[in-house]
Amino acid sequence: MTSHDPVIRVLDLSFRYPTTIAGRSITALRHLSFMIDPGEFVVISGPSGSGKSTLARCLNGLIPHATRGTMEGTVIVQGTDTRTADVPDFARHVGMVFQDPGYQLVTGDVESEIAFGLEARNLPEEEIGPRIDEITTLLHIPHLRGRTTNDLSWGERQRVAIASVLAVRPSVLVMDEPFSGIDAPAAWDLTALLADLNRKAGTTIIVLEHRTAFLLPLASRRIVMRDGEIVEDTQQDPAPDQLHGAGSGDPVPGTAGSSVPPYLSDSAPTPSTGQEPLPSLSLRDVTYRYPGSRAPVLKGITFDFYPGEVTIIAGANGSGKTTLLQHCNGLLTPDHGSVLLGTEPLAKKTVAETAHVVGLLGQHADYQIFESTITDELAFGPRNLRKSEEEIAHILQTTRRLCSLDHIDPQSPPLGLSGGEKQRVAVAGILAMETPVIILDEPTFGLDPALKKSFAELLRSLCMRGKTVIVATHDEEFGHACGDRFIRIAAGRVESDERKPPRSRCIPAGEGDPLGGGKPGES
Amino acid sequence: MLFRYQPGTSFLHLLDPRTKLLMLITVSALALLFSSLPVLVLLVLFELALAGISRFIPRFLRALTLLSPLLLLVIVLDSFFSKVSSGPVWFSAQVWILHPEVTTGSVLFALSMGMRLLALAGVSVLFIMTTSPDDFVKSLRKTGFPPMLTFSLGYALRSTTALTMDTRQIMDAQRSRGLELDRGNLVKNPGRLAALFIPVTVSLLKRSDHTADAMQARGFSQSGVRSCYRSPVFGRPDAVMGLVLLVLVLAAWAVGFLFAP
Repeated sequence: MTSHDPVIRVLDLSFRYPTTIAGRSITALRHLSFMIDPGEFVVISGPSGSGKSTLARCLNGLIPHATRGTMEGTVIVQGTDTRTADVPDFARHVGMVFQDPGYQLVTGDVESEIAFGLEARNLPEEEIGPRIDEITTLLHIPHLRGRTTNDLSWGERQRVAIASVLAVRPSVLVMDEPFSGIDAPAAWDLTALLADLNRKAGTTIIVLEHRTAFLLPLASRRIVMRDGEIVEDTQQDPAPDQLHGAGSGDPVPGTAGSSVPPYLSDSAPTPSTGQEPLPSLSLRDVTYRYPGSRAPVLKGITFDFYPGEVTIIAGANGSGKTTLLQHCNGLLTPDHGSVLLGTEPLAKKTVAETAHVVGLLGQHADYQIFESTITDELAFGPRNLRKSEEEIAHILQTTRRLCSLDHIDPQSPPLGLSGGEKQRVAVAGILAMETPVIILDEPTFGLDPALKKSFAELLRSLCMRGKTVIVATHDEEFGHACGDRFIRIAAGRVESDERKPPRSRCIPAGEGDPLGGGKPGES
Repeated sequence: MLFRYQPGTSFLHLLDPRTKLLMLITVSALALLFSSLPVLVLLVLFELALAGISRFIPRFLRALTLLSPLLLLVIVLDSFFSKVSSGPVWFSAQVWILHPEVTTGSVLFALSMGMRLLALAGVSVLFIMTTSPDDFVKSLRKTGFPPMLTFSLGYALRSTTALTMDTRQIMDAQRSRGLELDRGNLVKNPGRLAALFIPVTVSLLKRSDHTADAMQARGFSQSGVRSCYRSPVFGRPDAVMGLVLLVLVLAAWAVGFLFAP
């Protein structure tokens, strides 16, 4: 084939997942047809559940070979029909980075992981070493070599997964939400790397992603999907020069970099509204070291969290955000220092008792969901808190509406949902507990911009009802949209702790209209 | 965790996993072939010496003390109920159909059975504590075992860690949503176990499914030829160990011959 032949040809592709136990049959893709030429940089966006991940799996033969369901139509990759050859045969052409880094690491340590694809290509040992050197340098992860994959943080795993795919130098690179869970500097690095690969090595790049702000300036083509169909397909001139400007013109003041915008007060230990002087949750000089590791993850962290405030915690991958949050409901107990709920020390309570006050959502929706229907899932917390069934039914109705889950059958199994839907179910499971303190660890995973916006508004409305909301996120846009206070931690210490000026903070003004707090980020 | 790989740079760590496998097999075979107390004592002393030059005698002993209940049971039972009986009788009784009897011979026999257990357990502990599962799998791969087999072994070895981590994450999520797992007895409330069992199983199945996909997507196939990065190579320590093992076999044989009844 000549270089002008399309590298990927999709003809009238449809895919339907098998009928679930609940009798729900999902048609993920409907009659898609498009071609991708070598050297294109394609960004495929679309709301959660629009079929992006399914489409990705069609591009390297996982559909129809490894995923159950009915596929119609044809996909031709590098001249080969995906029905006629098996998945490993496509691996030399198509590199695939999956949505979930936790599940795609297949070996025990970082070096073996990166070597895995190279070994499968039967490269001699002398060539594998230099390739690992090269790719770890490119992705700024030489420090991770020699680590075991089990003790990497989410974002670190994501970068190792990307490295292990890029090391093989595929001619087509497919990435399913590669930006979820990596911090902004790493995201910019990755974007620059993709641009480089695309321009210098001529790699065809297909990125399926919600966070398109990073990518759109570089993309040569943009495809938008909705309900398994392509609703928009536009070619555009990539503007590589924008990359530089975009990196420095960070849209979120105060959360990235250490420069403090002038209007932010540099430290404000108590909120200046003067209405709620008592913190609902306090950390006092919390120091924590994981058993078996030498350096502490948290070093003397002291914070007060106040009701009616949304606190955004940012920090690089592996800086200790998750560890910090796990101290807030007693999942971890500090080596030194203490955690106070109001004035009561947390140390005396079990995690389950603390759940009456603090609702904590962990990082990974798959681990936060464990019931067989959405209804049971949402009722899990309230039932443990001994709420009455009528009360629970009422709560469930509200939370389902708040988390945009109305359109999904409440009797369907939550683990069969798409990434974004699962995330919403997980969030709803915490909100259903109606705790005064709500802590969310990377809650925007898999949410598209529209859902993120409504989610940010939801958090604002919660905060206006006097809840303490603490969110750890890499997503600066999101943090900016709902945060009052921005904490940045680096290497287990507080790097900065800033508040927006009081006038833009949520002062319970529009009582009758809980969602009427507007868009706080705009003031 | 005592029965787990401990990273390090000791003599035993430096050995090729295959050499250590040879050590495991040799010592186990000797322990099973010989039942005379002096030979078994020799094997245990050999293991202590290895632990000594690798500087983890305390950890080695701590691991072995976990065996002490079993060890005691073996020694007591063998003292009373062994078929070997010679020398003076110290104790004899008739309880229903059982006929416990302690003689000098049975005590010696019981002691050697205890030593055999120690020798077998000791060499396994040495192997496990100094061999990373990944290296072990690599060395098997290099020896020419089929990739499917070696990978499955490696995955199985690792999945215990993955299973522990998944379980902990899910338990954390459940506790965070008010399920009381810290107080009360787990056995008294089987519902709790069920609440954990199902999601852990689901997550395990899901994990293996995803891993299989990821492996295929990165070119892993059952039939394919694979190279091996950082494959272990035999070095001088391995030669030394080989020689030592040979000497051990000869010594065991000589001692066994010398003290033969």
